[in-house]
Amino acid sequence: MNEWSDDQIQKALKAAFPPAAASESRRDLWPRMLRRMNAPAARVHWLDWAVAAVAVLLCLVLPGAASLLFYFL
Amino acid sequence: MELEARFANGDLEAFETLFRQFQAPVYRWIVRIVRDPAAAEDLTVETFWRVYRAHARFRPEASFGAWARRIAINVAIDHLHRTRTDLPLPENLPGDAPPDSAIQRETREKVSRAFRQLPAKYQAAAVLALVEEEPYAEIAATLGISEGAVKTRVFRAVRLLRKKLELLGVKP
Repeated sequence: MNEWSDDQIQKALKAAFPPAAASESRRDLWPRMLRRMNAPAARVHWLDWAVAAVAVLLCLVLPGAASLLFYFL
Repeated sequence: MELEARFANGDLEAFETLFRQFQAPVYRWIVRIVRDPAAAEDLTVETFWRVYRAHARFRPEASFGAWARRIAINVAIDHLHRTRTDLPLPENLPGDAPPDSAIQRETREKVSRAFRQLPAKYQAAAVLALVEEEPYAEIAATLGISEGAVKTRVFRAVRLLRKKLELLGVKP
């Protein structure tokens, strides 16, 4: 039988992604936080607005597309 | 005035104190989901950036930790969504069969890449349930959904992953 059982899937995932319980960041991230806070605010690219407008338009014209869109969000 | 109240009023010192108090738990919440220490550090900073920007909406009588955790989980899921790979996995190269360890490594890589193609919400629920083995109730609290929804997401993640692995010819 070559079908993956639930247990085999779990074992494969554990092998691919070992548990992260012991993972700890030892670095002080506060300096990076300060740099982030002092960085100039990023502006939204016009293309992002265009994509958002197309998505809204698509949902209005084809309401069925909304569920597909939300699935991928 | 209490620390949380000073933070809610925009006090930078109070924010720094909360940052230092919660940096480690926020990092841990994120790294358990994204499984990438370098990305988890960036996302920890991103989480606190969102926390700082939303300080006026924070109610001092509420739990700062629970609020930060919800934001951290959303940041982690956004990251999974952005980095979700839709690239096809490479074909097996012809040649002699590699030794067992190489086969296992290849299988691990394929499982990892197939898993990274799943919807971000499924990945988050499945990694917490199946890899970290957290109780469903705890995952539900972390993700802000019901236990039933967690079970559904894990079930769908396993079903989708099984299909992907079978399509790729990856055997257990």
